[in-house]
Amino acid sequence: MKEVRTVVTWAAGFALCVCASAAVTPWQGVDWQNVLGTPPSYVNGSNHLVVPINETNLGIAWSEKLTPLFPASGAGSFRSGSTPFFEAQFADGGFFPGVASPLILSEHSSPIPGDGFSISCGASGPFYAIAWQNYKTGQQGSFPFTLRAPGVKTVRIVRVDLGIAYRIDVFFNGVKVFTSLQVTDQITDPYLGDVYLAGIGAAGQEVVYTAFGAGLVDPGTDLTTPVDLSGGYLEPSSDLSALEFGFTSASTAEWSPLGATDQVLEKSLATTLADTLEGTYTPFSDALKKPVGFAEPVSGRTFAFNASLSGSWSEGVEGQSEFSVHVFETPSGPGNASVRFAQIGGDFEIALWDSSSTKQDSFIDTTSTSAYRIEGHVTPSGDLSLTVTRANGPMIGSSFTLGPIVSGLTPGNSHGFRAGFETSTALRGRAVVHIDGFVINAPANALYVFTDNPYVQPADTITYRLGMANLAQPVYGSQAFLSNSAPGVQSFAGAGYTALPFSTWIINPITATLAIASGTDFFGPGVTDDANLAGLQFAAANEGAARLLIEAVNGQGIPTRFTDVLGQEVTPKRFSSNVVIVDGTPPQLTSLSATQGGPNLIPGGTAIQGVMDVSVVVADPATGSGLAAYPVLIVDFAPIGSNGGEDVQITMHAGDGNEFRAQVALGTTTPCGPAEIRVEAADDSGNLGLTSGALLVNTAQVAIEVSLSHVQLPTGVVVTRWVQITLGSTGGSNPPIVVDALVAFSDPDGTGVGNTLPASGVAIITQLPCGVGTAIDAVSAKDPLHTLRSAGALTYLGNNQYMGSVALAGGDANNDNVIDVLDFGVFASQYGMNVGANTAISQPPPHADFSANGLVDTADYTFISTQFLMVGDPPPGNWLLAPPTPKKRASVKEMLVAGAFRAAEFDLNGDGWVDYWEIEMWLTKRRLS
Amino acid sequence: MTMRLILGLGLLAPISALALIDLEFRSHYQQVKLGKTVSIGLYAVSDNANNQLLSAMDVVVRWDPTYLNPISFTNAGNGYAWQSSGFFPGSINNSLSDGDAMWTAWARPGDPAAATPAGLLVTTFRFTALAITLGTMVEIVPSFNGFTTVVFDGTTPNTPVTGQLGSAKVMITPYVPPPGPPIGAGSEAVPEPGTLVILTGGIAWFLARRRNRGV
Repeated sequence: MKEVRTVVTWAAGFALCVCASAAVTPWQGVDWQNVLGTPPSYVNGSNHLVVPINETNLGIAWSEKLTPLFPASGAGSFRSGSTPFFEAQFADGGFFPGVASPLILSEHSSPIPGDGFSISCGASGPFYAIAWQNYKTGQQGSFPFTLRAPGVKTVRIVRVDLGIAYRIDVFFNGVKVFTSLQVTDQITDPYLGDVYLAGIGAAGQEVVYTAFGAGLVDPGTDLTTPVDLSGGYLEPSSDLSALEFGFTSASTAEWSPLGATDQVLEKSLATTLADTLEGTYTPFSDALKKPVGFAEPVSGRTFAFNASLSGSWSEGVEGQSEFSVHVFETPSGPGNASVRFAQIGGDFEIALWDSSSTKQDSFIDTTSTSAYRIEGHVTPSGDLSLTVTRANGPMIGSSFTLGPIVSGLTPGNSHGFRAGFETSTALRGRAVVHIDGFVINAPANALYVFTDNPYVQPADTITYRLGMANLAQPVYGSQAFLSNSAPGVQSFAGAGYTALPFSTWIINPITATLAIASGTDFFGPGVTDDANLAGLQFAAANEGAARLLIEAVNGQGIPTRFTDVLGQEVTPKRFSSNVVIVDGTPPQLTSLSATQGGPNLIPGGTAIQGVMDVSVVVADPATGSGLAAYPVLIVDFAPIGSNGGEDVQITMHAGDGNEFRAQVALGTTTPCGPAEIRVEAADDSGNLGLTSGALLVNTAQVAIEVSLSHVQLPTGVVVTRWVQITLGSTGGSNPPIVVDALVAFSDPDGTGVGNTLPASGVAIITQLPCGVGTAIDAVSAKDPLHTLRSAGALTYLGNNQYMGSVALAGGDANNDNVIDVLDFGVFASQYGMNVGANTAISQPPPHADFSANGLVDTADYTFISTQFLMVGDPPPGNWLLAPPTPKKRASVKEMLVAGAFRAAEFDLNGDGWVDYWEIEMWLTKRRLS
Repeated sequence: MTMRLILGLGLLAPISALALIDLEFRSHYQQVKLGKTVSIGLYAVSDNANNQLLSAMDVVVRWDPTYLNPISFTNAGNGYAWQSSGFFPGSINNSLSDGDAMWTAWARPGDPAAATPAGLLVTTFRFTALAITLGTMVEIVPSFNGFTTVVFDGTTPNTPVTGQLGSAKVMITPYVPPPGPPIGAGSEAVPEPGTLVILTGGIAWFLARRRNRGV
C-alpha cells in the first residue's frame, strides 16, 4: 500500500517546507527517498538537520538503510562536525506489555561481513536498551534502562571523542533522561558504516515517528567574509585544487626585506572553543593584501619553511586528512609536487607526493617530534628531495631525507606555492599546522623596494627602502627608476641616499620623479654585499592601497641597472614594493551579546554564577588593513571603574565567519552589581574600534542537596521532579523565600538499585538578594506531588554562597504535609497507571509515583502504609502554620480536591464520605477473583 | 539486513541487608481428582527465628493451564486481614486462565502483617483440575513479562525483603465415582496409601501403554 507521501523540499537557504498528507501508512515497503523527498540540503550555520516525518508503525517489522540519503562518509554524513549525531523521535502511549521494539536505530557495517561496529537503541515493553557490538572482536555490551511513560521519546546516538566513541542520549518530552557511558575502548579506528533505522512492532501498537535527524555540518558553504587577520582564512577542502593560493614574495632571510616571518606567516585562528571551525594556515596572504608579482622558477633552487603540528588529527582515509604545501607551475604546467603531513598511529608522517598525486616517498617519525624545518631541494631538471630536520623532541636537530622524486617542474617556468588542509573527515578543523619562516633562496642581482610598515593611517609617513641583494658579481653603481602606483593615496615627501656603499650620488637630490642613481668613488672597490641604497618617504593621503614600482626603463628608455667593473650593464631582478594600506577607519564591532544558555543579557539582564558566553561580530571595511589581533574582551565588574575598569581581560577566539567568542567565568567571588562588557579591536593601521554593553551580575547561590528517602534509581537513569525550596530564618521579620526548582535525581554512587544511598540531586537557586549573609539560615524542601516537607540547616559559606541538604519522605500526594486517607485515595485512583517518573514545575496532582519508577504500583503503597499519619516539618520563618491533622476519613469533595478523581466511586454508601474500607470495597469490586 | 540488538534487560536483583521473607506454597505436593478443586496455601515465612513485618507484596504465579484452571483465591482462614488483596487490574491479570497472574496484598496502613518463622497464611489459591497428570507445577516466579514478585518491608517504605520463592506440584488422578453415596460426597478426600499405590501404578501403566501404541 502506497499513498501520496510526505513531500519535503528545501526552500532557499534555511526554510523547510513540509507538506504532509493526512493519511499515515505503515513503514513496510516505504522507500526512504520517497518519505523524505529530496535529499536534505545543508543549512548554513547549522549542524543539525531534522526532517519531520509523519509515519505510524502499525505493528509491522521494517527497516531502512538511510544511505545514500545520509552517506557513510564525507559531506553529508553524520561524521561531519566534532560531535555529530543522528537521532530518531517517536511518540507512544507508554508501557506496552509484551510489545516488541518500537524502535531500533543503528549504525553498522553491513554489508561488510565481519567488520565494523554496530550501535543500536531498542525498546521492549517498558525497557529500553542501548547495545553495541564490535564485529571484528565479537565483543558486545548494553545499557538497559526503563522508560515506560507515554510521551515523545528521542533517541540520539552521538559520536564523541573525535568520532571513535559513541554516547547515547535519550530524551523524554524534551528532557534528557538517559545518557549512556561512552563506548570507547572497543573501537580501534573510525569506520565507514551505514545508518539504519528499523523497528519491530506489534499488532495494535501505534508508534508515531515524528522526526529523524542527523548532525550535519556544511563543509564549504559559509558565505560570510572572514575577518582579515593579516592572512587568509581558508576553508579546508576535499580537493587540493580548490585551495586558495597566492604567490609568496619571500626570499632568503639574509636579503629579503620581508624577513623570515612577515607575510609568510598566517596569524593563528586557533581556538580552544569546541565545535568551532579552525583556521587553516598558509604561507600566503589573503585577497586584500596578497603579495603580488612573485612567480619564480624554483628549478635549481631551495625553498624552506618551519612546520609546527598540533591539535587533534584525523587518521582517516589516506589523502583526505592531510596538510599539504604544494609547489606548482604558473601559468599552468604539467609539474607539481607537494609536501604532506599526516598522522598515523599518533606519529606524524612526512611525505613527498608527485605530479600524479601519488605518494612517492614517506617517513613515519616515531621520535615524538611535532616541529620540523623542511628544506626542499629542486634540481635544475626538476627533481625534488627533502631534508627534514627535527625542531623539537628528544632528537631535536637530527635530520632525515625524502626523495628525490620526479616532480615534472619545468625548468625555466615560474612556480608558486599554496598550502592548506585537505580533509573531509569529522575532524575538520581540529588539527592545527603552523607554518612560518617560509623562504626561497634569492635569485641573483636582486634590486628591491620595501616598506617595513605597510599599514598606516592618513597623514602618516610611509618609508620605503631601496636595496640590492645576492649580487653575482661586484657592482660599482646602480640606477633605478621608480613610480608611484597610486598618487591619490601617497605623495612624495622626500628621499635620501645611504652613505655606503655608494658614496657618489649621481642624481641628487632625489625628487618626485623618483629617479635614483649612485655609485662608488672613482677608484672605489666593487660591492658584493647586500645593502640599502636609499630611503624614500611618502605622505599617506586618502584611504586605499599603494606601492612603489621599479620600472625597467624611464621615460627616455634609460634602464634600471647595475654597473660592473667594465662599466657594462648588469640587469637586476627587480622587486617592486609590498602593498601599503592607508586606512583611517576603525574596525566595526556589532552584535555584542552575553548569554548563559538563554537570551542576550545585554542590556540590563542578570548574569548568574557560571560561564557567560560573549560574542561579537567584527569586520574591517573592505578597504581596511585588517585586524591586527583578535579582539579583546574587557569586563568591568562593580564598582564600575575600579581596578582601572578592567577586572577581566580576555583575548577572544575566532568563531564562524566574522564572529569572535570568549567565555567569562563568574565565580563565587565575582562581585554582585552592575557590570560593563567592552570589546576592543585594532586594525593593522592602528585604528581602534570598540563596542560595549551593560548588564547586572548576581552570583549569590544556594546549593541544596535533595535526596529522596527510600527511592533508588538504576544506574544512568535520571528522574526530574518539581521541588519547592523555602529559604528563611529561624526568627526575625524576613518573609521566607520560596523557589520552584526542577531537580534531576540520579543514583549518587553509580551502583544502581540495591545500594544504600537514596536517589539525590542538587537544587541550585540563584538571584537571591546579595548581601543578606546569615540573615537566611534555614531551608526546607517539599516535592508538592510526592513528599512531606523536610527542614534543614542552611550554611553560609561567605561571598553570598549557601549550602544545605534535606531528605524528603514520600507519601504525601496532595501537598497537605501529612500522609493520610487522602493520599491513599489519590494512590487508589491512580493505581496501575503509567504516569511517568518526571514532573514539571506547577504540575497539578495527582502523581502518586512516590518510588519514581514511572508507575503507580505496590511499591508506592508502601510509602503510605509504613508512614501512615506521619506529618512533615513546618517551613522556616518567623511564623508557623498550624500542624496539619491527619484524616482517617474525608469527604468526597476533599478527596476530589486532593486529586483522588475516583472519589465519587469510592463513596459506596453514598453518604458523602470516604474511608479506607470503602476504598477497599471499591478495589474489591474492580479486582478479579 | 542483520539487525543485532542486544537487549540486556535482566531485572536488577534487590540486594538487602535485611532479613528476608520467603514465600512458600503448602502443601508442596498434593493429589486431586480430575474435575475437582485443588487449594494451595501461600505462606509468608520469616527466614530467621523472629517475626518480620511486611507492608505489601506482589506475587507472580505461573501454572500450566492445560491441567489447572482458572486461578482464584480465598482469604478464609488467613492469619491477617489485608487492607486490599486480589488479582488487581493489570495486563498480566487480563485473563486468569492463561497460566500467569499476579496476586497483590496491601497491609493495613500503620498496621503491618507479620511473617512468622512457622509461616503466615497469606491467601489460598484455588484451581480446577482439568486433565490427568503425574505432576504439574504451580510456581512463584521472580518475574514474568515485566511483572516482579516482591515482598516489601513493613516499617521502611519501598524496601524489598523478598526471600526464597516456592512452588507446588499437583498430581491429577482420574475421577472414579464411588458406589453408593451420591456423587460429590467426599470427592476431594485424599486417597488412603494403599489406594494411592494402585492408582499411581495404574496411571503409569496407562501412560506407558499409550506411548507404546504411539498414541
